[in-house]
Amino acid sequence: MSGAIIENAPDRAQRILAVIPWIVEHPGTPLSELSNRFGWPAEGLRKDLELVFCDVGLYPFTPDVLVEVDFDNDCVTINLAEYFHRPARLTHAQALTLLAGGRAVLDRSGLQLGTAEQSEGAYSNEVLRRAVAKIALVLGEGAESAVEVTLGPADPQILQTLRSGLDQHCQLRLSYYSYGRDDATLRTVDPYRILSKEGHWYLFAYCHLAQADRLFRVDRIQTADSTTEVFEQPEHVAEVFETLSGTSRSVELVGPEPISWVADAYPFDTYEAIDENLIRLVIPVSATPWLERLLLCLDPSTVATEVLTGESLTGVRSLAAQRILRRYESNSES
Amino acid sequence: MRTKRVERLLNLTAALIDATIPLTSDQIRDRIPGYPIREGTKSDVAFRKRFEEDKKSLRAIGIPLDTVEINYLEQPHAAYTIRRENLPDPGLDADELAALHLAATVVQAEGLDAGDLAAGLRKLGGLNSELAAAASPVGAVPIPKPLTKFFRCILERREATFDYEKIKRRVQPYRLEFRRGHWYLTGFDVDKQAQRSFRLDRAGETVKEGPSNSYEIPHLVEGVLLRQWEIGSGPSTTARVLVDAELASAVLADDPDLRVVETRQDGAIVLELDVRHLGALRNFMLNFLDRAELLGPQHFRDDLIEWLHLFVLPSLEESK
Repeated sequence: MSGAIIENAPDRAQRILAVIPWIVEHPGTPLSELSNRFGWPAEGLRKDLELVFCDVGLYPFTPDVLVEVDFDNDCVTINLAEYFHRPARLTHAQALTLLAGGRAVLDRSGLQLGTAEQSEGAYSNEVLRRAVAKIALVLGEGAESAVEVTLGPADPQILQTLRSGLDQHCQLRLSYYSYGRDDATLRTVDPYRILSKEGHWYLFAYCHLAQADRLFRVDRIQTADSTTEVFEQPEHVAEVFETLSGTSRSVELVGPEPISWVADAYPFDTYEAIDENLIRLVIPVSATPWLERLLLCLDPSTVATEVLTGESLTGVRSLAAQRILRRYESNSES
Repeated sequence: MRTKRVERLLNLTAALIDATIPLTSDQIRDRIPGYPIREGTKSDVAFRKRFEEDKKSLRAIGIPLDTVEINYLEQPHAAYTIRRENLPDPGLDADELAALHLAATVVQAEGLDAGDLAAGLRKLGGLNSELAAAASPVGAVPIPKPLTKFFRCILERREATFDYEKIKRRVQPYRLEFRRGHWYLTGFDVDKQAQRSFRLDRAGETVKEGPSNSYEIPHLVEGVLLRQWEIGSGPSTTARVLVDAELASAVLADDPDLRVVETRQDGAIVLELDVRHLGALRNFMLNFLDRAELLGPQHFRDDLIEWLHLFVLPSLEESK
C-alpha cells in the first residue's frame, strides 16, 4: 500500500459520502480539483470512487442499481446515486468546532474575519453570520444560541489597527497601561503576532522602549496608532508564551480557608492545608501592585512573606491600604 | 471475495435511505453483502454483533439511523430506517463555506480531534478556502472533554447529571458560554429549582445523559453572571464608582454593558453598579488600588474605609 494513511472504515465511509453528492452536482470535475477541495490525495479519491463503482449499490446489485462512476480524462462524473445525494449530518464534535470558531469571530470583541483588505466579499463577518445561522438551522431549534464564545475583551478598533500593522509590517505607537506596575507609557512596537489565550487578547511585539520582545494585553492598550515606518520581522518569532512567565519572585501566604480561591484564580507553586482552617500557599508574583491588590482582598489575618528573603509583607500591605485611604480622606465628593 | 467493511457500511446506508419502508434486521441481512448468511445460532450471534457495530459506526459519523417498531408482521419487530429529511442540506454557498473555514482556522478549537474540522467541512462542500488554508490562528478555544456531551444535551434536550464541586447535580442544559478563558454551562438546576451557571473546569468529566426531548429551553436565557457584586438575593443597592481615566477604557473593554452615568473632562468615568454582595464590590474596588473611588452610598464607603484600616499598621501610619 502506497502513501499509507491509516483510516478506519467509518471515517472512510464518511468521506466518501461527503464527496459523492458534490460530484453528482458538479459533473466532470477533474480529480486534481477534487483532491484540493476535499483535502485528500487524488489517488486515494480514485480508489474510493473505484470501490463505489464496483461494490456499492442496491440489492440485487444489478447494473441498473449500481453507482456509475465515469472517469473521462480524470474528470469525474457520477450517475444513479440518488440515495447518496446528501452527505451525512455534522456530528456534534464537528458542529461544535465550526460553531465555536464562527461564534468567536462574531462575538462583540470585534474580531474581523478577514483583515481590512480581505474583509470585502467572502471574508466578511456578514457572510460568516449567514453561514453560522444556516449550520444552526440544520442542527435544530436552539442551536443558534447553544454556544457563545467570548475570546476576551478588546476594543474592536484597536484590534483592527493591530492586525493591519501586523499585515503590513508597520510599526505602531501604543499607549499601554501596565497593570503590574500600575502606570501608563507611550511606546513604539513592531507587531509580530496577535493571539487570544485563556480569555485575553495579547499582542506579541518588539518593544523599542524596553528594547526586547514583549507581550501586551490588548485590553490594556489605551490607544494604538499606525505609522508608516516599516519593520522587518525576524525569521523566528520567539515562543510567545515563554515571555509570559519569567517570574522568579515567590510569596508565601498563610491564612484562613477562604484563601483557597486564590489557588483557583492564579497559578501556584505550593498548596497545603496546615490544619482544618489554615492554608499555606506559595504563588509566583510578577509585580508589587498586583500583590498589593491581592493582599488587600484577603482576610486581614493572612500572613504574607517574601519566600526568598523571609521578609514580612505586612508593611507593603499597610502602605497600599494607606495610599487608597488617602484618596478617601482628601476627596469626599459623595 | 470478502466484502470490506467500508463497502458494507455504504451499502447499508444506501439500502436504508432507498427503502420506502423501514427494513428488519432479517431483510438487511439478506440484502447487504458482508453479513453472515442465515445458517444457525452461531451465525445469528455473529450477525447481531456485526450489525450492532455498524449501526453504532454509522450514527457516529452522522448518519441518522433510526430504530422503529413495525407491526405488520406476525409480531412487532424492530426495523431500521434513514429518513431523507433527517439529512438536511445547510445549503452554504461558496462564500459562506469559505468564511466558516477561515473562522475555524483563525480561532481553533483545541482538544477536539483535528480531523473533525476537515470532516465537517467536507460534508458542507469541501475545504474551498485557500486563504483559510494559509491563515495563522489568532485565537484558541480549549474544548474540554465533556463539552461535546453538554452540547448534544442542549440540542437534544437531554437532562445532564454530573458532579460539581463534589455534589451531584441534575441540570437541564440551556447554553454553553466561553468567557474569560473558561466554559460555563447555564441551565436549570432540577434539585435547586432555579437557573444556575456552572464553570465546567470544576465539573467532573462524567456526564450522564437523560432521555431526549425532556424539557424546553426558555426563549430568553440570561447569560453567565460575571459581576460578582450582583450575585445574591434581595433588592440591590446602587453604588457609584469613579474610575480614573487611565483605567476607564480597560474597565469598559472588560464589561461593555456597565452603566456609565458620567464621563468627566479628563476621561474619568462614573459607573452605577447594582450591588447585592458588598464583599465582592470591595474586591472590585481594590483591583484599582488608588485609581478609583467608591463615591457612595456613604455606608458602602464607610465599609471600604473600615476594611482598609484593618491593614494599616499603627507605626507606619504615624510615620506617613
